[in-house]
Amino acid sequence: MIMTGDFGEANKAGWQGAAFGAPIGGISGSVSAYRYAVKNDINPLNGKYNKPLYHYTTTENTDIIMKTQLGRTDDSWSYLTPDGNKTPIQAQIDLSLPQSNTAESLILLKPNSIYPRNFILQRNVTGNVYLRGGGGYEFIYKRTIPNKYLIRIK
Amino acid sequence: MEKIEANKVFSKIDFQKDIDYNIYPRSIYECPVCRNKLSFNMQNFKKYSLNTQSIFSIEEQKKIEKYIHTGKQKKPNSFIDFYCPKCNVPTRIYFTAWAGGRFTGGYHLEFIIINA
Ligand SMILES: [Zn+2]
Repeated sequence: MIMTGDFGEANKAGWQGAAFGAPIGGISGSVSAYRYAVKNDINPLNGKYNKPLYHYTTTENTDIIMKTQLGRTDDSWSYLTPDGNKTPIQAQIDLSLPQSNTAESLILLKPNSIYPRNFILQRNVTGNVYLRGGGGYEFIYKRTIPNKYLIRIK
Repeated sequence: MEKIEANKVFSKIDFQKDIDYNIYPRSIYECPVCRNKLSFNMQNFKKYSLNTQSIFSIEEQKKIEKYIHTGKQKKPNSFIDFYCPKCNVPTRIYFTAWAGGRFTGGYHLEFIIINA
């Protein structure tokens, strides 16, 4: 049943897996694409990333995002993290947030919303940015994200 | 009625919360009618972020809205209305409030409308 999904999209997402460090030459045929998708948290039916991601920010920023979009223009990068259980101070440290970001507010990006081919980076957050410790994990996504894919958690 | 790009009348058209945090930069606005100068800071734009309220008369607002609709440019999500303190010309600053990026946000000044 699962094979009736849009493999073209899953495959496309898979081919863009360079950002994930995937061996491009190692994927051949739809079965490999399917396995690749599942292994990399990609929904094989629609090629979209199927895990929740979060954006920690201020109440004011969340007001703007929920009325517009996450990010400024389609050339801009949106920062997201897989851990939605951080306290504000922990988020500030782990994600090396700017001093202006109180992290009192939290936005959920729903699973199956965005294509992973637009992830330009996934990495551990290094310290020293804004004198924070770092240690969290971040995804960088090169696109704006429409508010219909977002849920305000707090 | 005249539309003027923000970079023609403001000394700074981008405020970003992380970069401008704690340094309180200003943008100097020069009235295109009388050359009077006015200073704006990030707090001014924060206060009017996603603003839909106007101090202008309903007629004035309608005139501006109609003028904006004839353009192809998408209407920015925020504006500030004021009368020039020197020449009294009704002025609207259109700007975009945005958030995202590296867990930050900001204000981008787009254009002004002079109702002269
Ligand atoms: Zn003036």
